[in-house]
Amino acid sequence: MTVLATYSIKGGVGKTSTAVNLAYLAARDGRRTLLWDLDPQAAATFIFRIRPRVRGGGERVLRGSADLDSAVKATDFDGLELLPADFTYRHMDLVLDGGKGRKRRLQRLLEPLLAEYDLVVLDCPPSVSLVSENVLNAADTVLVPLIPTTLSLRTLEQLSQFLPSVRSAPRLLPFFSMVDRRKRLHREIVDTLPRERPDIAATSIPALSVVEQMAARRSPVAAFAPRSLASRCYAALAAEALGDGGAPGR
Amino acid sequence: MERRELVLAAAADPGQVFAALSVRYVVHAGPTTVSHWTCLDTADWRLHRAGMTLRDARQGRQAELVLSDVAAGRLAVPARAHSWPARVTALDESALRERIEPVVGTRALLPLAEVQVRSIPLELRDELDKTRVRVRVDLQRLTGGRPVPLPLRVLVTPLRGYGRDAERCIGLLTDALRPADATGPAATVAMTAAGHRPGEPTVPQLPLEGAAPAVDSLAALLARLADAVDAALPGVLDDLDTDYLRELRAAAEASSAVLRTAGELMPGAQAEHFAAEFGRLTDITTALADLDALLDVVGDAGCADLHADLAPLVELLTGRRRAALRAVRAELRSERVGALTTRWRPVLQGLRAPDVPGPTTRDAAARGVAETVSQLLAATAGVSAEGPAAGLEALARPASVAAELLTAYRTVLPEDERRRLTDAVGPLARSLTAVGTAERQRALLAALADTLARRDPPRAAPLLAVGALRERILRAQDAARAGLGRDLRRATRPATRAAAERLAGGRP
Repeated sequence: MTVLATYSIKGGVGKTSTAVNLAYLAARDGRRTLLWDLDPQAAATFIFRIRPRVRGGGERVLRGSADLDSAVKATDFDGLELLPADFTYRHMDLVLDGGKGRKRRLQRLLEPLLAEYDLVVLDCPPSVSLVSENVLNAADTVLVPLIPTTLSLRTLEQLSQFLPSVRSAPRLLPFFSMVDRRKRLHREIVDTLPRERPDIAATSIPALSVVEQMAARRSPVAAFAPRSLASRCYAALAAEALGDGGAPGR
Repeated sequence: MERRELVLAAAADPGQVFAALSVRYVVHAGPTTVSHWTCLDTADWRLHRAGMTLRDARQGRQAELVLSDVAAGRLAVPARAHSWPARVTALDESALRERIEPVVGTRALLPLAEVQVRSIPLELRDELDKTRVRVRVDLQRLTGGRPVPLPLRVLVTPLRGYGRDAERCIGLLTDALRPADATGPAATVAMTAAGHRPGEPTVPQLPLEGAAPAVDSLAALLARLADAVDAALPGVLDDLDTDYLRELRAAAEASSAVLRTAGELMPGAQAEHFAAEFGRLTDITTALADLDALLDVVGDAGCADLHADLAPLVELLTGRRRAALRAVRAELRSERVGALTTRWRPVLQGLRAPDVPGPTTRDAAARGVAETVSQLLAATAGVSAEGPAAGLEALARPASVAAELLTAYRTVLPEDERRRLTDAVGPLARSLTAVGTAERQRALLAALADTLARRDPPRAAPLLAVGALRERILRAQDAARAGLGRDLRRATRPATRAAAERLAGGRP
C-alpha cells in the first residue's frame, strides 16, 4: 500500500483538488483507493456528495476506539472509497496529543488497511502542527502544491527545513499549482525555480476554470471533463507521484 | 453485506421495480446493455454432475467463458468466439480448460440453452444525488427458437457504508413484487425452460394433454423425436461425440416403440412400416455403439493398471471402430435412410385429427402401455435370469418398448399406475440392456483376443491383459444377471399385471 498526502502550510493552493483527482485517477486505473479527508472543512467529502460525519464522531476513529473500517463510505466511482471528514477534526491536534507515539498515531491507524487498499490519499488541513507530523510520518510521498508566488515559495522552504526533524521523512514532491502564465511572476518562477530545486515535479497544474467547477459539479474534473487539459495534467502528476512513468513538459 | 439476487416472475417488468424503489429513492437508470450467454454441458451432464455450470458469455465483441463451480467458486477467462458444439480441445489453453478437461473428457460441449439478457443498471440516490445502492435489472429470454421469457432477475449491490440502504431496497422489492423463494441458478432455470432437466437425457420432454386427440399428440411426439434424430445426425456423421450416436439411437428406439402401438391412428400400414425402419436405424448403429461402449470400458479408470498392455487391443478396437463408422456413415447417407428422413416429415404433417372424434391421448396411451406390458409379462414366462442369452434378447424388445411408452406418455397416464409400472418395467429394461451389452462385449472381446493370439509372434502381456479385461466383463455380466433376476421378480409381481389391467380397463 502506498500513502500519498497533499499538504501545504497555506490554504487555498489546490490540495483538495489534487487529492480528489489523483485518488479518482488511481481508482480508474484499477488501484483500490481510499481518500481520507482530514480537513474539517470537508471539501473532498462535499465533492463526493457524502455527508461530513463519522458515526460516533471522528475523534473516536482517531483515538482508535472506533473501527476505521466502519467509517469508510463508497463513492460513486468503482474502486474509490472515502473516509469522510468530521467537524470534530478541528480538534485533531488535541486528540492526537496524548499518550505514547503521538506523532505516529495516523500511521498506526492506517496499518489495518494495508491489505485492503493499494493506495491511500490523505487530504490534509493547512497547518504546521502535530497533524502535519503525523501526516509526514504516515506518507510515502507528500505532494506540496505551490502557487508560483514569493509567499508560497517561502512556505516550501519552511517545510523543507522542518522535514529533517521527522523520523521517517517521506519523499517530498512539490508541484506548481494554479499557474497563470499570463502573469510574469508565475512565468519566471515556473521557469527558474526548478533549476534550483530539481525535486519540483515536471508537471504543473494550470489555473483553469474547469478545476473550479469541481465544487459546483461535485465530481473530480477527470470524471466530468476527462479530455480537458486539467485532467491530463492531473494524470501526469499522478504518474509522477506514483512512479508510473514520465511526465509531460511544463 | 453481500450482493443479493432476487428472482421475480417472468411477467414482472422493470417498470414495477422502478416504481417500487422510487417510493424511497431517486432512481436513475443507466443505458441498457444487451448480452448473450449460452449454457454448455455434455449430453450426459458431466459438468452438472460435477457441480459445475459453464457459460459462453458475449457482449459486443467481447466473449468470455464463465465457470461456476460449487467447490472452487467462479472462474472467467476471455475466449474467442466459438461455435457449439465443440470439444474441450477446441478451447484455448487456460485455467478454466484445465479445470473442466478431466470432467468433460472426450465428450462434446453442447449448447443447451441460449439466453439474451437486457440489463438495465439503476442507481438509487439520496437527496444529495449520491448513489447509495446499485441495482441491475436483467430481462432474460430464451433465444434460438421460440422466444421464451425467463424470470426477471434483480441484483442488489450494496455500497460500502450504505448497507442499511441495500436492506431497505430489498425490503421495498420484496413487499411490492414478492420474489420467488428458490429458483436455482440462472443457467439451471434457462435449461429447464429450454425443456431440459439437468441430469436427465438432453432430448426435451414434451408435455402432452390427456384430453387432446391421440393422433395430434402422436404427431407432436413423433415430430419431437424426429427433431432429435435430425439434430443428432450431423454429429454422428462428423463423429464429434459418441453421445450423438446415443441420442440418435434413443430417438429411433422411442419412435419405433411409439409407432408399434399406433397402428389404428395412422392410415394403412404406415405405422408398421416406419416402426420397422426406425428399428433398422437402431440396428445398423448397434455395432458402432458396442465398440464405443467397449472402448469406454477399456478407457475406464478401473482398467488403469492394464492400460499399457491393452494398447494393442485399443489399436485393434480403434481400427474396427473406424470401419464400423464408415459403414454407419454409408448407411446414414444411403437412399433408404434418406428416404426415411424425407418421407417421414410429410407423413407427420399429414396426421390430423379426423372429423369423427378418435380416442383421446390418455385413452390411447393407457391402452398402448397396457397391451405392451401384457405382452412383456407373457414373454417372461419360462425365462430366467440364468437362462440362455437368446431368451433374454426376445424379452429386451417389449421391455424397451414398454419403458419408452411410459416415458413418452408420462404426463397423461394415471400417476399411481404409471409409477407402479415404471418401477417394474424401467429397471427390467435397463437390466436386459446391461446383460445384452455385456454379452455382446464378451463375444467381441473373444473375437479380438483370437485376432491378437494369431499375430506372429503372439505377445503374452496383451493377451493376459485382455484376459483380465474379460474377467472384469464377466463379473459385470454376473452382476447384471443378478440384478436382472431381482428386476424380473419385481416386474412379474401380480401388482404389475393388476396395474396394467386397470389401465386397460380405463380405471384410474
